[in-house]
Amino acid sequence: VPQHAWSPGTAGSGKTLFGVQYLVAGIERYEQGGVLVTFDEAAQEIVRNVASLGWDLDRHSRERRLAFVDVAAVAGEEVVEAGHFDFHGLLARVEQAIERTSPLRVVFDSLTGIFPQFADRQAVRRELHRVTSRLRDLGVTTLMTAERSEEYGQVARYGVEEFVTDNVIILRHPLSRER
Amino acid sequence: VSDKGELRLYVTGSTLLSERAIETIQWCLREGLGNVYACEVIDALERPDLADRDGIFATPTLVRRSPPPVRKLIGDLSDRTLVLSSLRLDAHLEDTAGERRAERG
Repeated sequence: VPQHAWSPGTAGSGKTLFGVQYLVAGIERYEQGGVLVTFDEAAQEIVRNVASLGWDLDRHSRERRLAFVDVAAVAGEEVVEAGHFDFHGLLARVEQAIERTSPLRVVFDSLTGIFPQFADRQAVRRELHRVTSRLRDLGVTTLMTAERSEEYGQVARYGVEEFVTDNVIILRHPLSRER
Repeated sequence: VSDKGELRLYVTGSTLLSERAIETIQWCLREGLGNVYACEVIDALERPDLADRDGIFATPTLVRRSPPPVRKLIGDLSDRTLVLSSLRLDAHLEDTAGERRAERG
């Protein structure tokens, strides 16, 4: 079983669905808890979007089998980068969620949402690396999604994500009948 | 009830970055920021619930919770001038004084 997998896909290829399905399968089939860390969309937006597939994420959350860590940017908030930073705050929230749900599966959706927020990409790489090693120590399996800029090219937009993971799952959304 | 703006500085334990950010915000408060803002220092390791509510992820983060708009300064605040200018000390003083006069009038 891969401990850290990473699934890049272009926009619309189903990265979020893939991540959510991974968590739901863990909960419903294997009685494994899950944590969903959302960078691109607010957690409640994802809950609404997948409800039509019959996935009741709110219920799983109430029953403490699923926890959300919402890191999506909030409209109207202004963010200024003012010096050196780490991701210990994120880790504190993820660890709190892990304690609450005792999960074996953690999904980050998506890494692409993190990078544009910071000028210091080297620091983002270093901190992501630290977050994944900590999660590895905690014995959870981490799945990270990321957006690709094109279907068949460089795997990751920021050329980093392969290094922090053990496995890569690529999602493609080919056009079957182009007009 | 204080009329002051509300700042929260989120740190994580006693890392070098945490200590630098606390030092800077204390300096800024002494340099005049303290007249318009009250600041609370919160350790996200002890209060992840508060960090959750304020949407903290990179640390340290200084959050201006009021007056609106919510503004977040991410990092150890090593650029003090940027901190002071981001919190627009003078403009904020004038604005709120003006608003209060208008409300009362």
